[in-house]
Amino acid sequence: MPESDLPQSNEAPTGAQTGALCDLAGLCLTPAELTSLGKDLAQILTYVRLIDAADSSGQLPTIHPTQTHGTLREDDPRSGLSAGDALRNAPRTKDDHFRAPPAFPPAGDPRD
Amino acid sequence: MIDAGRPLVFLQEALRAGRCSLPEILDEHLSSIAICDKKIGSFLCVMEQEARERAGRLQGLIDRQRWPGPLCGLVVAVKDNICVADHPATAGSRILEGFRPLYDATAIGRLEQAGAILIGKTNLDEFGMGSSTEHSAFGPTRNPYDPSRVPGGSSGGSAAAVAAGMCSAALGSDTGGSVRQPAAYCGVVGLKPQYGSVSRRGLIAFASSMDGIGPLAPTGADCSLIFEVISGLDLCDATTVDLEGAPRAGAIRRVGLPRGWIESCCTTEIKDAFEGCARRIESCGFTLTDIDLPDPDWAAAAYYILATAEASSNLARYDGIHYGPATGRSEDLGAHYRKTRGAGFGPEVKRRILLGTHVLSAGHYQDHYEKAQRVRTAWRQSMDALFDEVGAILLPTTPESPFLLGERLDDPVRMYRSDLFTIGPNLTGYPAVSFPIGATRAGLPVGAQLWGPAFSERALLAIADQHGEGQPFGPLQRRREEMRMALRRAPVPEDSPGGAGEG
Repeated sequence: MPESDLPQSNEAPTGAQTGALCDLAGLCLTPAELTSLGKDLAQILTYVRLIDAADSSGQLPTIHPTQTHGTLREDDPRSGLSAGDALRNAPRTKDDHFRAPPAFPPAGDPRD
Repeated sequence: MIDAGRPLVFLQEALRAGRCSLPEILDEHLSSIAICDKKIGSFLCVMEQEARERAGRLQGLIDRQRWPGPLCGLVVAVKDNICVADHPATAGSRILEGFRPLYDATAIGRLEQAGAILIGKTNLDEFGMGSSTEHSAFGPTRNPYDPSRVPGGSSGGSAAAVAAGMCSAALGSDTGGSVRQPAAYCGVVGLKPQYGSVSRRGLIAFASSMDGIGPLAPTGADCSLIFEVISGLDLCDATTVDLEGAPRAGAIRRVGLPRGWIESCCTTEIKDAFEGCARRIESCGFTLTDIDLPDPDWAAAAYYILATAEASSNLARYDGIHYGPATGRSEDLGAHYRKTRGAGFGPEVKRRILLGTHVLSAGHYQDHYEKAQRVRTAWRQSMDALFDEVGAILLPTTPESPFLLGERLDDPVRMYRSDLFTIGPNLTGYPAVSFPIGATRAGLPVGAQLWGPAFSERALLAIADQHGEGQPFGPLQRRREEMRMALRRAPVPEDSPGGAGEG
């Protein structure tokens, strides 16, 4: 359809709604990003709702374009990466391990 | 002086006859990079030393009457989301800065085995998400025909490098048109192979059910040679197929034209160039027939739901623990993930991760994600029914000619609709090829596209080669040579990307 006929965007999601989405997505955004991405999301979601007009009744969902199944290779043991190779691109390591912050914040410390 | 921009068959003839050498061919391309790339910004790294050593080694084989392989003479640039062992693979993102893959992508290993020389890694929209190569963390690439305009995307660095003669061919990746749209904008041939024809091992994932590696080259014949080498079964990618056993598409006689799409979406200049191409094809004995396709906006809407859903899942691996730049200390793991990803991803990637997360979240999964999957099935059924009637579908690659840098950055939907005509084959997995067919009054390239049924790559490339403008000594080659001369004379812009470093 011509660009002029595209539906206009609905109201932007609130900062809290976009913030909740960021938490789910594991993204820390600045307040300015929250505002501008929230506005973009509203515009894009309005656009993608165009598929509501497409008739897909009775159709099964396509998950993948190929119909091939059971293509696993023989289960032959073979050597994997050495610890040195596996750690080569890691920003922080200790001995033969990836180094990461604790999974839970120290007691009393608020999450950022 | 040899013209390293000639199709491979000419270069191989000259190499065999001793009229030129591989180091000379490589020098031509390196010299083009040195002069032109500060004005275009195609390369993120140039592998000069390694390429020179390899050219010397392969030339030694030729001198001893041992032919290195079917791609001898080909100097190839590689989109920077395809892994070359021990060289940077940023995917255009800060989050992969400093990352060096441990292994070659299968396509890279096959190119090298066939005698090709790798010259460098090219710029792209971050993780392949974009239609203009403006969404790269390392600055935009410019269109060599008009540096104020975009080269298309996301394989814009690869397409511009081929057009400007900085390499003889390139690899790109196509998830929603990312090989074909920049091929059209830069006046080269670009192939999106059948899903499963070319291994994705070593391609940094964006949307795994639609991603694919494809070649870009000045002619369909060169694309065909590269496709023959990189395609086929790979035990490291369970979705690849043995092409020997795959069903082959029959000869194409009838070609369908979606007039409704063309009339409602294309500019007059695109329509005029396309009609000329359609007439040329008809005059060669093909039967053209009008066909109806479903609304292109439905395909685009389904694509942007499915691709972003897959991306939000694929990109969850960028956690700042296994690779990526070190960020400051975080108190806990969750905060570390959020901080690393917030600092490492650019705005378009964040936009798509958020959209993908939204459409997969409880309450939206069924009416967005599952609905898009059902529309994908309906789309494939429409295509299968059409391919019972016609051997291929011919349409413009893009509704418009290359747009100005910055023009669509603040309007994501307008940017997404740049891919309106290319998304269809990614939903079905079927192959498609874009080939140059003419130019606008301002001299900007125009491309047409052929969509075919499963495994019809060879037939599509043959038509593109015979009926496009890519033939040697044709009008496109003259325009290309004029463009390259103008590019060499042009001053380096003040906001020049500064040229790529050795990688």
